[in-house]
Amino acid sequence: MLGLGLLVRLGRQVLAKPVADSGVLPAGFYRHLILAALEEEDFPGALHYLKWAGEPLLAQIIVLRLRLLSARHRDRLAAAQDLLRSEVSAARREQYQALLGEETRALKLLREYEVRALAHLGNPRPGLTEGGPSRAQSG
Amino acid sequence: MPKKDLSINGALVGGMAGWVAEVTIQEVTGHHVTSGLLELLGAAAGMWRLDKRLAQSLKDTLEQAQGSQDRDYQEVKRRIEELTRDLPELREILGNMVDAGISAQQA
Repeated sequence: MLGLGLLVRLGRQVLAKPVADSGVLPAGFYRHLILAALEEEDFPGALHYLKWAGEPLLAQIIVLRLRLLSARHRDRLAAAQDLLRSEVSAARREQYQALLGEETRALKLLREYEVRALAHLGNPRPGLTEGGPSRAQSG
Repeated sequence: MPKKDLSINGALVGGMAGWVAEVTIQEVTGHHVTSGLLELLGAAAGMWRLDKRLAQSLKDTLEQAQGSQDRDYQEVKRRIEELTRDLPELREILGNMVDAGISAQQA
């Protein structure tokens, strides 16, 4: 027997995402989804629903959060570079190189998210100064 | 005599009936229904409280901008202004929040 619980769950799993992705739901629902994604620092999730939220402030919040996160990663990158310069052990140098690679990748990803968020504000370019505003304040 | 608005007996009977219904559905279908319903209710409640959640999101953002606890409000304000030059609406809101913090600190 096909249970009611199974139907409810199946309905949610099968229909929830396609219906939400169709953009037909009220803007308030998308704002709810974006805020929920932001609470978990799920930037791709938040960006995905941004176009249906009709709330520029949410895009601005996402941009600022991304810039703050970028600043943190930039600090870590600088710290790893300092450590790499002063390290003589080959094994350690390899570890720091790996860390540098990861931080660089993270920064690149965050920059891509920032570009996507800014596009919702009619500003396709990230940052205000060379290297972005987060570089200006990261020191 | 004041009007009686709450019924302990009613609540107990209602709670028991709900529990029996849940167990019955679970036994017959083998699935939990209430968790799904509670999730839907939670989402609905989340939507009703959008303004509050937006305010909380702004507060969280401000806390993230503050970084370490020893950073003073003027420094936080400077940092926010630096980062939100192209985000006027957010800059104004966060600026007001920081100003309120400065005023509270001075009071």
